[in-house]
Amino acid sequence: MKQGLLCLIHIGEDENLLLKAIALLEDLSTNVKTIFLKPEELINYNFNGVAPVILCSISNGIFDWQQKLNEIKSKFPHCIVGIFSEEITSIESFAIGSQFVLKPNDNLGSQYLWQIIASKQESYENQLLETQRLEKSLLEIQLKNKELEKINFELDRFVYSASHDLRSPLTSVLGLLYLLRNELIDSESIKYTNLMEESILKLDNTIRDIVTYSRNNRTEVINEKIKVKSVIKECVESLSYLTPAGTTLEESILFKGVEIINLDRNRLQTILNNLVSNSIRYRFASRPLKIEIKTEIDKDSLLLSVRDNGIGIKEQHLERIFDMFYRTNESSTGSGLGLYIVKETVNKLGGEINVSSIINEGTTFIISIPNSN
Amino acid sequence: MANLFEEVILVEDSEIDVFINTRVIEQLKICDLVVALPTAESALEYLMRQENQLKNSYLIFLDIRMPKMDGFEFLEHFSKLSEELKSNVKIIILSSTIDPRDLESAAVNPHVFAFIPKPLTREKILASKLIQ
Repeated sequence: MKQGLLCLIHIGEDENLLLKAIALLEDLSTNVKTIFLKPEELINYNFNGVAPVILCSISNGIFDWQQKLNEIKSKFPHCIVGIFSEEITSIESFAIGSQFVLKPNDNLGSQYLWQIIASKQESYENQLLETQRLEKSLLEIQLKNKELEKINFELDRFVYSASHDLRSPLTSVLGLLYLLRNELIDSESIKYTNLMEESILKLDNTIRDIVTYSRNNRTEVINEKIKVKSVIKECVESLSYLTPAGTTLEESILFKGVEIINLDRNRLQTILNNLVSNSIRYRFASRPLKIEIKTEIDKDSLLLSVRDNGIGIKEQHLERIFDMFYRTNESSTGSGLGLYIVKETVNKLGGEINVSSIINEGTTFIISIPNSN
Repeated sequence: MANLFEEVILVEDSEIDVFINTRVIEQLKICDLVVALPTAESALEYLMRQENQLKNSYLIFLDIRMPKMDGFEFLEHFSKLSEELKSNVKIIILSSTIDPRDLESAAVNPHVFAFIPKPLTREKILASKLIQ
């Protein structure tokens, strides 16, 4: 065990008492490091992180010792403070927070003092070890965090670079098909180019879905004040190109409650894009497509429903449509990721999603997301 | 729509895309001349050479992801060119990127007139409100 630290403070003029106190300390000095300070020196003394036992030797007839002791107690709250005095009683000293009293010529008492210092030192060392251990693990956590942030950043860059490199040849082929179709006249060839385009768009969708999925998983939710109305309108507008020529899209958008919500814009867009594009993709061929989007916002939540008059989903599939890569039939043009992404995104926002559907009549998705105000 | 621009410059490293873009632009008849430059560096040099014999109107289709200098670095250098040249140039970013950071950077850049996702089509040029 390391040496404990005892600090002696002498309050008053009684030289005799001071000598006795020093004699007591000499008995201890083989095991305990002792220092002697005047009361005015103590108050500004720097113990360099060590919490000593402070022994105040108090001469007879000093009346303001209680105040001095209180000062010391409040200045050094982690120290053990005791009194060395002929006349101050235990009760008096405990009443103001002193933790022990020693009388001069009290050998038993000096052994007791030694025990206090030893146990004080031990608990101090344990504390120090614990602090070091915590600091070390904190440092490790910070390092790991930095590493993860770096990996995340690189992964993000990789995902977008890879998606760009995968999509580039696809967009080139789409461009060529676009030019080719303008030059073709026989319907058979036009049909081939349309099928090629369809296949490429499907692959492109899969790439986009994988990127969205990876982004939703890795990035923090960023809430901002958004106007749900404009996000919905932008989304429907940007997807209207999916409706084939000759198909009419009747959209009705109904709003209730407040206009602005605190929400992650990108994630709301992801949810809407997927649901609306599904409604367009799985429309009922022989009737005009109707999509009804309803929102209800209050201070606690956003209730969003997207309802269509499409082909609907068979009851046996309803339970599994949110599963990864689940497709209701082989000829489905989706990647099998869209609704999985919707569910994951809703989860990330702390919300819930439910679906109801009647085959050949249509499908309704109902989502509730907490308002992060 | 002839002579809407005296010159269209394609800053594009993919030869196939240069071919596609040239065809679409030619079919739309919006310019007298299409020039393709395979790197952002060569496009900058080309623009600087134009300073002496500046034409009235240029349209640049700028790719983002190119080897060495990318589209956004090009825009940084472009902003330092003469005011006269800059006022005669419209820049449209044409890219396959789906990185939201790219879209954001394009949206806030004062020199970017529009962002068109590849492939370039007549309909997308018309929708960009480039032609009133």
